[in-house]
Amino acid sequence: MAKKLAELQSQMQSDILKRTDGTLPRISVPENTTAEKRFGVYQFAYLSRLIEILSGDYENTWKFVGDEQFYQLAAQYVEAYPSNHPNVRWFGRYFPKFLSDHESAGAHPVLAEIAAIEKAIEDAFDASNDDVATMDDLAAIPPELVTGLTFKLHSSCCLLKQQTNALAIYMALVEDETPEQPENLDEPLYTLAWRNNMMCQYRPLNAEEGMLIDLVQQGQSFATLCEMAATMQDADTAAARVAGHITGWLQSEIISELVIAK
Amino acid sequence: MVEKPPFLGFGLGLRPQHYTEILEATSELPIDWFEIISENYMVEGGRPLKMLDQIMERYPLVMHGVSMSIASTAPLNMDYLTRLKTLADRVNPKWISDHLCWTGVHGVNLHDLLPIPYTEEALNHVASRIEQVQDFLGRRIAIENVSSYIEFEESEMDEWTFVAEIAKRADCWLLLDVNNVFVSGQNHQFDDGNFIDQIPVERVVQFHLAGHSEGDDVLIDTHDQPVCDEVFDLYEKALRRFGPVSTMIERDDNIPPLAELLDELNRARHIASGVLSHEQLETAA
Ligand SMILES: [Fe+2]
Repeated sequence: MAKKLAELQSQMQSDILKRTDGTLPRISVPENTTAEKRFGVYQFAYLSRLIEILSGDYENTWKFVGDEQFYQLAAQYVEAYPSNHPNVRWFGRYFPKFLSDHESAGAHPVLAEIAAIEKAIEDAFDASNDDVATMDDLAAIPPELVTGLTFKLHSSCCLLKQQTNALAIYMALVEDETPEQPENLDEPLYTLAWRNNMMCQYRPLNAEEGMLIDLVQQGQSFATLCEMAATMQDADTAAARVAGHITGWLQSEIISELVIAK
Repeated sequence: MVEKPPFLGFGLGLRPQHYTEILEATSELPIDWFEIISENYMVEGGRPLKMLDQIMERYPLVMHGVSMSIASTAPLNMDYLTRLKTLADRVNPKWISDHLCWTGVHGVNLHDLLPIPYTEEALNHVASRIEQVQDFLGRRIAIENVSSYIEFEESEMDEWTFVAEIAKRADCWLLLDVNNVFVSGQNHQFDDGNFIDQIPVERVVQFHLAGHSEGDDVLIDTHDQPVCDEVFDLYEKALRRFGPVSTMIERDDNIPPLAELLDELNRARHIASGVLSHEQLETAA
């Protein structure tokens, strides 16, 4: 074990993370500069690199709060969640959670929800290449087995249930339009993000479709979906409505597998 | 010693901004090969891997990583290495490289290429880690010299001595980043030409050419600028010593249109054609 090297690396890392100067006596630099200045390059680069990564991952959250507040939040995030993944792609994965924990400190809940939309879309981008179930697969299922049918959502799917008008704000930001004021909604809004033909998609779902996707995620069968739809709107047309939703999901690559009950 | 991997000619770092231009080019682009950033493709699926599959059908690829942390005293990250190997099985790269640096300890990743002191202790440590990685991957890897802004009092030898010795002890290849030699030479006031002269010819399989930026009494390895004249001069010197070595422009930030990078690459080609014979350059084909 390289003891001296291990001890130097611990010291140096701690000095980079905490902006302390324990390593300085061990550093040699030319006369035209100082150890403090040169070591500072690493300390500065650490923070600025990670803030830059976050501002790329959460571009619209950044746009919404502006440079100054985003920088402050990002710097606090870097401190609260030092990267523990070799791939910087996943550095920002706790940012929505961090923002929602931050609400007590006065941040509007809409912030965490805008960030959650951005994360859902980013995650859809490079999620696993699951199989995609088609209308033909559905047609091949014997009619007597349809009631027991369950559905596997594509790995790229992320269902969000949000309490604020984050989606409307997000959509305005994407279009470079002035977003509306943040507010809490009377009813929660479901939004689904997923990937269709290699392109990231998202759309709001009405209360019934949101509930149905939620039930699909829980592994509920076609029969249960119909029963629950019957409680939402007209019971007579519930099965037809559920079938309509399933058709839409199959056509937009939301379902990866139709599972026949054993 | 086994034979060096082939001279690939003149390549570029593959960047997502250029996917479409590369794949939809109507005439043949003057690019012989691409280097991918391994981590960008260590994902489950989606567009990155789809683009990669299409590009590897047309161009030879090499893999370049930033997270191996070969000089760290933390245990090797076997999960990372397993993913790296899986990617290598998909890509079949001509070689795999990473940096002579560490990126963190105690489970933290600082996402930077941090320098080490050049000591006998570090030499033993790093050489044995490279051997472990090479055993695991079942192939030699190439190790790249980094830019640094500090040196350590406890260093017992020069950087070039350390790099040459690592290559010998670990029996690995070297990726010589000419810009990093220049930047570190300026930062630590050493003779960059002498650095080049001290690196063993038979180990070097690849050159990086990159740009840097100027800080206060320091050059910083930002890869967001064109390659400067001094680095092209040093490249010419390196070609005289090392002969035909696969050369590429490494741009990571402030990414310009492909055409601008091709101009820089052409400049490298032009310099090489002045130094190397026709036959030496031809091995690229
Ligand atoms: Fe490099």
